[in-house]
Amino acid sequence: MARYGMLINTKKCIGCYACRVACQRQNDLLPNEDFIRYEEKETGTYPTVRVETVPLQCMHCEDAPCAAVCPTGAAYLGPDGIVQVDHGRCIGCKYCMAACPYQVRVFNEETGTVDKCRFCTVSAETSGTRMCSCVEACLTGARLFGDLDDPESDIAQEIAAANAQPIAGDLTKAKIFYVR
Amino acid sequence: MSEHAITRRSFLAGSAGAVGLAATAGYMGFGAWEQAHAAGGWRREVTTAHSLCNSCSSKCGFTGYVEDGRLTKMIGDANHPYCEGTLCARGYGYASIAYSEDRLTDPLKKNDKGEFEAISWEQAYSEIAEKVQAIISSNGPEALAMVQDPRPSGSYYTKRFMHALGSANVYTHGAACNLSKNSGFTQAIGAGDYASDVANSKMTMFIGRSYADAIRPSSVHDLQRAREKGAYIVLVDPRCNNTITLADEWVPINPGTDLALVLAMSNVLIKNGLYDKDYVAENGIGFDEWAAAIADHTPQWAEGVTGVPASTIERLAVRFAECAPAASIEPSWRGAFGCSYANSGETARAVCLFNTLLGCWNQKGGALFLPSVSAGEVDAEKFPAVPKPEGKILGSEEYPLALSSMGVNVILADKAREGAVKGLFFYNSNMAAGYANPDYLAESFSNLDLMVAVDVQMSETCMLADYVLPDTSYLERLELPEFVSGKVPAVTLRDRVIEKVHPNTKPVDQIFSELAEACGVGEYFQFTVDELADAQLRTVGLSLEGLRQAGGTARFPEKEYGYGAAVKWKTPTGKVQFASEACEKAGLSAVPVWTSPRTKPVGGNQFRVIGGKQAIHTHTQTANIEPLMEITKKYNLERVWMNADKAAQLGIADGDEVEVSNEEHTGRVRVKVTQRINPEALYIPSHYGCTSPDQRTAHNVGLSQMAFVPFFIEPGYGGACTQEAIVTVKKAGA
Amino acid sequence: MMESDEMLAVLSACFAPVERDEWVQLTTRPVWSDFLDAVRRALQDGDALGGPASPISRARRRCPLQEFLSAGEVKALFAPPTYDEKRAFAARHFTGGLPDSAVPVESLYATWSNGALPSPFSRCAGMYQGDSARYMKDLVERMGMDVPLQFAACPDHLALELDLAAVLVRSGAHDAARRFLAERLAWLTAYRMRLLKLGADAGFYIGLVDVLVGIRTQLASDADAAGGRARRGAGDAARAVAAPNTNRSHACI
Repeated sequence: MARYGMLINTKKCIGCYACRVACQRQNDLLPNEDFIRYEEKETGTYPTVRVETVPLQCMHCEDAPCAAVCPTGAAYLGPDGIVQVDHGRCIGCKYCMAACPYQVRVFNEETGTVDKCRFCTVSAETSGTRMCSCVEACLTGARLFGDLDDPESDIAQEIAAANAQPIAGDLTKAKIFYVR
Repeated sequence: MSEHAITRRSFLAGSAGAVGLAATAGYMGFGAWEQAHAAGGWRREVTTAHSLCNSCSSKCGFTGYVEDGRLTKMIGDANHPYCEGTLCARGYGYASIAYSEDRLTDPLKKNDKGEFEAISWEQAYSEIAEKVQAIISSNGPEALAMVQDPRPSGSYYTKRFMHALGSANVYTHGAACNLSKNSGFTQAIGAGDYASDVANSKMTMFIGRSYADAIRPSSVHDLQRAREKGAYIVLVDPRCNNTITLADEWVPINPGTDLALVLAMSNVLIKNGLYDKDYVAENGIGFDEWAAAIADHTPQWAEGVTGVPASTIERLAVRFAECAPAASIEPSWRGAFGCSYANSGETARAVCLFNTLLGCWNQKGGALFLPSVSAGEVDAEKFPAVPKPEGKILGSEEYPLALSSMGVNVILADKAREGAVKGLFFYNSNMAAGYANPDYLAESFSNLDLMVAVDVQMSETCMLADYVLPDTSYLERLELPEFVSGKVPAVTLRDRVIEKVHPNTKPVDQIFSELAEACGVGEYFQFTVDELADAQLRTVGLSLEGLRQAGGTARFPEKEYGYGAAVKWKTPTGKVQFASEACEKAGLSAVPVWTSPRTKPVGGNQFRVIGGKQAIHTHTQTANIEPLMEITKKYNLERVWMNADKAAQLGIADGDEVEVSNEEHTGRVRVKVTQRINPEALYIPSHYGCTSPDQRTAHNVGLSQMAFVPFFIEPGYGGACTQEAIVTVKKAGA
Repeated sequence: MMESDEMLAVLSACFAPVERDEWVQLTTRPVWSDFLDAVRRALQDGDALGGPASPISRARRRCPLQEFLSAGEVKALFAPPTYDEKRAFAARHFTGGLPDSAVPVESLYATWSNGALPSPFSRCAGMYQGDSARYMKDLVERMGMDVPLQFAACPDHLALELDLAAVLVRSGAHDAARRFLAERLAWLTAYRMRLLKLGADAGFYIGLVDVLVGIRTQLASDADAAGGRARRGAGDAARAVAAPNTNRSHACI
C-alpha cells in the first residue's frame, strides 16, 4: 500500500494563497475554515531582508499526537498513512487541536467537529481527474505529492536530492517534507 | 368562492391553481431530496464551458463545470496564454459574485429622498434617453461622457454608443492605472507598451511591479524560468514585495524617485561608453542633447535623491551592460509610474531610453514588440460604421501627451464642476472610489444633470448615480472575442458558463443597444453580440462555434514572433525619441531630465502613501468576496506597513492602532512594523476602506488609499498622481 | 368563508409582484376580512390546513387575532398597503444589492448547500440559488409544472413557496402541504430579523411573517402532539419572536 506524503518548497512559495482557496473549494469548506495556514518569516534588517512564506497543514504524522489524545478514536491514522477524522465519532472536545504541534486543525462551528487537510490529492493521483487541490493549484509548482515508499516517484527523488526535512525534524514522523 | 376567484390565482398552475392526483404524488420532502442528491441517485446534467475570468484584467481562460445549472468547479485552461493551467486565488474566489446576495437585480432610480427604488427597464431607458436628449439639445453631445474599465464587449459597445450620440468622450480607467506610462512610452518609442522577455533574460529590473502580488500566472511562470536559467532579477520598490522570493536583489528606493535612478544608470552607461553606440546612432534622435542634459545626473547625485548608494547604481548599470542585449527594465503595469507621481510620464520615457542604450529591442531576453491579431472589417450593412464624432475628447487640450485611446478621466471631475459635462455614464468602473480623491469626485459629480452607472453590485460610484442598471456577471454572458498579443498571438472568448441568475439583469451589449434605441440612434445596433462575435472571428478565419469547440482559445502560429526584427518606430520622427517635440510643446523638457515629484515627506512622523496590490485582491473590486476577505481578516492584511526604525522612533509597535491623517482624510488602522519598507513610505494596501454599506463583506475594513490623495493631475500626461499624498502617523490615542 | 388554500394564495400575493386590479380586489372587503379570519383560524388550529372543518368545530372556539399577534401587527394587517404603497415598498426592499434590500428568498438566509450538491461556494451563506432553490425547482418540475420566469433566479421565493403550498392543498394533498410548510418556513425567523431593520412601513410584512411563523409552529406542534391537541403552539411561538405583547387574554376556549 502506498504511503502518501508531500513536499513543499518554500523557496518557490510566493505567498499568494491560491492553495488555500483551491482547497476550500475542493473540500467544500466554510469561507473561514482553512486547512492551510501560513507563517511569514522576515529575517535580516533593512535594507538586507529576506522573506519566507511557510504553508502549514496537517502533516499526517506517523506518531500523530491528535490520534493519541482523541478520547473517542475519531482521529486516527488510516492504512495509507493518511490521518483521518471520523466525524461521526468526533465530540468536538478540541483535545486534538491543543495537542497538534503544528496548529493546523480547525473547528467547524457549524458541525461542532474538528477537521483538517485530508490529503485529497490522493484521488487525483489515483483517478487522474484534475481537481482544485493545493498541489494542482500552485502557480509555482512549490508542491509535490506522491508515494514516499516508491523510490521512483518524483517526490521520493526530490526529497532525497534536496534533502527535504519535516518542519519539526523527527518530532512526530511527519509526512510533509520541506525544502527551505 | 368561485373557482376563478382572485384568491385562487396561482403563479404555478394556471388560474384554477390545482393539479391532478398524479402530480401531487410527485411530492418529495426536502430530506428525501437531499438524500437522493447526496447518494448520486438524481439525474445530473453536467456541462462545461470555456470562458475568461474577470477577477483582474488578465482575463485568464478557465473551464467551468456546471451541474444542474450551478457552477461546481473551475480549472485553469492550459492553453490560455496568460493562465497556462493555473488560476490565482482571486479566480477561484471571485466566481461567487454570480450568486452574491449583494447583486443588483433590477434597474434602480434614486428618489427625492436619495433612496434607490426599483423601476422597469422601459422607465429607465425612456427617462435616461429624455435626459440625454435634453443635454444634447442644450449643451451638445460633447457634454456627455463615458468611463469604463475595458472588457471585451464593454469597450466596443460603450464607445459605439457614445460615438453614435456624437460624443468623443470615452475614457478608460487609465488615468488611475497606466496612462502616464503608456503615454510616456509613446513619446519615446511610438508604442504604448512592450513586453520584457523575462524568461530568456540575463537580467531584468522591475520598477514597482510585483509579479507575485499582482498575479498573471504566465508572468510568474516566466520569472521562474528566468531564475532557473540564472537570470539576475532586481526589484526596485520602496517595499520589499512578495516577488522577492523569485528575485536576487531588492533596491529599496525612496518613493517617487525612480526617474533619478534610471537617469543615473543611463549616465553611467553613457559616461563609460557602455551603451550600444551603433544601435543608438541608427535608431535614435536627440541622443546628444539628452546625454548633455543628464551629464550631471551622476550616481553620487542620485544617491541623495533616491537613497540608493551610488555604488549600487553603478554596479547595476554595469551589470545591465554586461547582460545586454538580453536585459531590460520591465515595462510594468501600473507599477510605480503608471499614474503615481508628477514625474511618472517622464520616468516612462527614461525607461525606454535606457532600454535603447542596451540595444535590447526585439532581442532575445530583451524588450519585445509582440505581434497581435485583430478583427478585420465586418459587413458594413449589418454592422454600419458610426461616423467619427466631430469634437476631440475632453482633456486632450489640457493634457496633450495623454493617449486619446484612454483619455484623462479625472478631468471629468473639473468638467462637471464647470458645467462643461452634464451627463456621465460608467460601465464596470468604480471611479468614485478608485481614481482620485473620493470626496472631491463626489462633490464634482453632484453637479451633473444625469449620472448612470452599470454594474453588478452597488459600488461607491453607483451610490452617487441617478440611475443604476444591473449588469449580468461575467459568468452569465458571451462577450466579443478578446485578442491577446504574445509570441504566438491568440484569440480567446468569454462565454456563458451559467444561465442568468437574475432574469431582470442584462449584459452590456443589450443595455447599450437598447439604450441607443431609446436615444434614437438604434440604427447602429441592429445585431446581437453573437452575430458580431461570429462576424469578427470570421475575419480571422474562425467562427464562434469553431472557437467554442477549440476550447475558447485559438492561436495564430503563422504570426509567430521572431527575434531580431528591425523596429519601425511609430514616432513622428520615425526614431527612438531621446528628444520629443511634443513634450517640449507641452511645457516639459524635450529630453527627460530629473523632475521632482510634487510632494515630499519632511521626516519625523510624515510619510508618503504608497499603494500596491495583494495577491488575493484586485483594486477594490474583490473586497466584497467572502472567501478572499476572510484571508485579509485572518492575516490582518489590511494593516499599513511602516519601517521598523521609524516605528521605534515614533513609539509605535507592531499591531498598534495608528491614526493616519492629512488634509483630505483621517482614519485609524493597525500597523505592520517591518524591515521590508523604506522609512519614507507608508504602504496602504489598495483594496480596502470600502464605504458602501451595501457591500456587506467589504464595508469598513481598513483604509482607503485614495481617500488621502489630493486631487491633482500630472502635467502633460494626465495621470491621477495616486501617490502624491503625504500623511502624518501617530499612535492612536497618543 | 375563505378556505386555507385561498389564504395561502393571498399570503403569496402579498410578497409577489401582482397587478393593480388584483391587489385592489384582494384588499377590499369582504376578501380581506375573510382572509384575516382565515388567518385567525389557521393560527388557532393547525387543522385549518387540513381542509374545511366541520361547522361545529368552527363554532367551538374563536380566539381573536390579538391572541397571536402584537397590537401593532394586527393594526398593520387590518390596514393593508395600497397598491402604490406595496409597489413602493417592493421597489425599495424586494430588489437586490441595496442596504435596505430584504428580498424574501430562502437561499439568502441559509447555508448554500449542506453537501447534497457540492459546489465551490457550498458553505457560504447569503447567496442565491442555494439547495432550497434547487429543491423547489426540482419539486415544481416533478409535479409537472414550471417555475415561472419571474422566479427563475429564486424558485425558493416566499411567494412561490406559499403558492406551491396552496396548490398542494387545493389538489387535495393536505399532508404534503403541511409537511412542506413545516419544512420550508423555518428561515422566516432570520428573514424577520432583516425586516425589523427596515422602517415602519415593514410592519405589514412583519405581521404576515409572524402569521406564517405561527402557522408553522402550529403545524409542528400538531405533528409533535398528534392527538394531544395542546392549545399552545401558535400563540406562544408568535409571541416568542414577536414584540412583547402583554395583557393577553387566555380565555379563548
